Amino acid sequence: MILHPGILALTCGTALVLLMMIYASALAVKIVLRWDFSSSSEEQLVLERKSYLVSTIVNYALGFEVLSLFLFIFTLDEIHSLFVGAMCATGSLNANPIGWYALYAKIVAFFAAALWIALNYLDGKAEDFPLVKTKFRWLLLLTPLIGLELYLQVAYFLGLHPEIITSCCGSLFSSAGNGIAAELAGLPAKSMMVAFYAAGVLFLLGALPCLRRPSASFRYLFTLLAALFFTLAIAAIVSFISLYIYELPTHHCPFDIFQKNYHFIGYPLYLCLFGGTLFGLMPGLFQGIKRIPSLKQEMERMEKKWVLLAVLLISSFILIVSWPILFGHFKLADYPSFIF
Amino acid sequence: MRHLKILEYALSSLWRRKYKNMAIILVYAFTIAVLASILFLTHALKTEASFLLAEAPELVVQRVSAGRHELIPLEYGDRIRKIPGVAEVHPRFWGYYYDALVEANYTLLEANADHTPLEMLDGHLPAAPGECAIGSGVAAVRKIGPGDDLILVDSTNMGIVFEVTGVFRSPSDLLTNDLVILDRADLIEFFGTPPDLATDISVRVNNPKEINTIAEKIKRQMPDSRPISRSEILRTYAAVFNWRSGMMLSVFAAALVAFCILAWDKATGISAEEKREIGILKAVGWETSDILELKFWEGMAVSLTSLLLGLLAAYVHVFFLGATVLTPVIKGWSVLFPTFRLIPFIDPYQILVIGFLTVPPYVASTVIPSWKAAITDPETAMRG
Amino acid sequence: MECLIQTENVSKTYNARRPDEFRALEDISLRIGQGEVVVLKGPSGSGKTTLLSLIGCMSRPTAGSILVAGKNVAKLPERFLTRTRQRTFGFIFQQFNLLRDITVMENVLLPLYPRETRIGEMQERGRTLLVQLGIESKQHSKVYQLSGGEQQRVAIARALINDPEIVIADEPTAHLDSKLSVDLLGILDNINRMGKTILIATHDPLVYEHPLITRTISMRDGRIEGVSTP
Repeated sequence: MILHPGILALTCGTALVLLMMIYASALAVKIVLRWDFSSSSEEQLVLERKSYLVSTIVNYALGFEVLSLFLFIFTLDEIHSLFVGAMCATGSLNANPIGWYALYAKIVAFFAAALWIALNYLDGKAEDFPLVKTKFRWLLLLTPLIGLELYLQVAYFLGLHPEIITSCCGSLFSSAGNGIAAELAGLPAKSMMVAFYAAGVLFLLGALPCLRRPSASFRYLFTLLAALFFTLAIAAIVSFISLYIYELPTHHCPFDIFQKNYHFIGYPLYLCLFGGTLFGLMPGLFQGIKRIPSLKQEMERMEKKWVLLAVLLISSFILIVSWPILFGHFKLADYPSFIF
Repeated sequence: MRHLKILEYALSSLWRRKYKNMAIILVYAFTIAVLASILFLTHALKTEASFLLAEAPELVVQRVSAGRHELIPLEYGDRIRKIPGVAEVHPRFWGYYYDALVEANYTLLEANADHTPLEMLDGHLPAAPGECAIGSGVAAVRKIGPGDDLILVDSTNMGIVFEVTGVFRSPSDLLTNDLVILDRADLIEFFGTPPDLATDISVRVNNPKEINTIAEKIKRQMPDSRPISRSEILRTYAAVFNWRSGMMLSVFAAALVAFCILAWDKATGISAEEKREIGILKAVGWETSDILELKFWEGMAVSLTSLLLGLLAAYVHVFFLGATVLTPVIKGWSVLFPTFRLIPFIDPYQILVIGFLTVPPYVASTVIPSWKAAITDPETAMRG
Repeated sequence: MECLIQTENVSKTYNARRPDEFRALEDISLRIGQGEVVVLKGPSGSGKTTLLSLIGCMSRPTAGSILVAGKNVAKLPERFLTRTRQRTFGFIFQQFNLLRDITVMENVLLPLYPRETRIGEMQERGRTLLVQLGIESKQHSKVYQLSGGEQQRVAIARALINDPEIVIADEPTAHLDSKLSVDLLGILDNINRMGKTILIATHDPLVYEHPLITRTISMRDGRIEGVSTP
């Protein structure tokens, strides 16, 4: 365990969020059990007011999740010097592989919290609280997720021993290594590039029928494509996008792009990717809500917005990553051994 | 538009209750200043240490006997020189000296060692026997300067006079503060070091990537040696500083908790006047979520103001006042105390960490009280 | 005459099924048409204020339905109740309910802060109202610097800032001397001429005997005792 201020901040912050979420869940249980919209009792009014508290807490939790993702990566970057051979955040993660799971948990928690807030927003649009029970049941899943995140984070930091010799990003993401990360880097850049752009085009094309036709299956397809694109995009960042940004044929680290040397390009890049994926996921996941009469109209209106936003953000993402590929000095073709 | 207007209202409402809010901001800022001072100080010391260590040899070989650092035979140096990849080998002579007069420890070091940074010196390094250069700390406690004499008592209890030919300037600090640099022959004689032994051996390597390999070879050939690489020292420094600041933060977490209790209390005990105000706002058409937003902006404004004030206070405290309050705790190991100015820095990461340590507790302790205020029944405005 | 407000068997019980249960309103059914000036008359504790707050979308009834401009608000969640209140009603409270340490203009604009109106437009509307009410010169004064009559006008300006269809006034003359009360009735008359429906709760004869009033509803113990049209 390293007693580092950043680690302390992350652990305490997540613990605090978890505590608040547990409190919110307790309220949620009460609301789910006692909710009776037809009643005019004072208790019902109290429950309605408590639901404000729950959504406020989750709003703050989401804010924390977003910022803590950054803090997590920056902290990893700060402490990499403690590990022999670690050159960046990736090296710190490899010092204790649980770190990768902690990172995944954080990403999942981000999407889950954001989706919950979207659900909550929709619920607020109808005059009869059609989603109250649904949303508070989902909340009961969100809380354990934050708990898991805290557990993985603590397990990761506790398991960090500065003496351990870790591979640096160079060796981790170099094709010779093993493990998932190395597999991503080892994916042949050319076929990866084809897959990435194909998924991107498919996703953008998938938006067209969603905007024109009411059929639900197009939405499900769109959501599936969003998920597929997200996975491929992450793989592509490790496999070849990073190479073009760093202009080095061996540097596959997905975190260094946040640094000043690379003009902070990581911020707009990941913002577009995560935002676009989020809006891409929503039409399919929230398809069932259309069956609720009081929300049908609102949903149809919102859905168009989501699809447009997803298209906009994902196209920006593709533009950002294509820029160095098309106009950068670095040409992967100069390094034939890395293409195949 | 709506959000901006609510923000504007929040700011004007804070301003109206400025005395009450001032109190909370001051306490908040003080808590932040304490935490930030710890982080700034350790971070500055850490950078400083690594900055100076950058000049240190890539590899230092010590001899270990019975688990303790021992003098190393010069012959080891010759053996190391023969290892492929080794560029240069220098035996080094240094030691500690306790000055009973001022109750301080000095570090005595030979002159001409290849690793001594020289830019920070007023005067020159000892060029002849009987001369010495001293750190600013030594100069201060002994009240001497260039041209004066420094009298030290050697291993045979004889007082030896050295003429001070140079004093290190204070900005260069951690490593030079307690230094006394002597001519090599003087130093060997002063400590009574046997002629075929040195304190340790510094090694330069042709290819930095081979340091670990060479260290391994040295260890294998001379099992009683202990090669220490520069990066190892850096890592140890970093770990020690992280640990120290982490420790201090945990201690001062108590201050944070105390502050949260205060914040909770302040937020819970909203005045009748404020309750009436919220009742009126709700009656004239503000929603619960609007009031929650109002409270959010108020909290943000209070947090950010305090954060700014606290950071500013910590910055002044650490970089202009030399962290007077904290240094004894953090630097504790050194008896002779450097009074140097740390090099000011602004590191977004440190600020992010401070924000993370202080803002969520405040938000968490005010969220329930603000919700309680926000659900005020609009009807109360009718009842008066 | 178009019906603007319609209540059907409305009851309101506080602390239901508890020892301190209190039935503030029972079985109230009434209709108020557009452009009417209706007075709720009765001693204190007769349920006037409760009825005003139910009609004004400040709280929900325990039973019965309330239609405001054709929309049933009896079952609306708070958020939508507030929205209806924001758009439909302007309130003049018994003790003015102004914020004492902000300016007159800021007080008048309070209802518009949580809405999407641009600041320039807000101020334009505020100024027009203050001119109409003759207190334009006071717009930058703090409320505590004003006389009772001026405060009453600020409260009226605030009630009108969102251009409501219905103005609700709860004991508007309680803190005014008779001269100011007459002034106030004059202003209410003007508001009514602008086509707004007015609902006043009072036990001040100066108000309910005023020729402006189209209908007087007498209340006692949470029930309607009688309705008279002058």
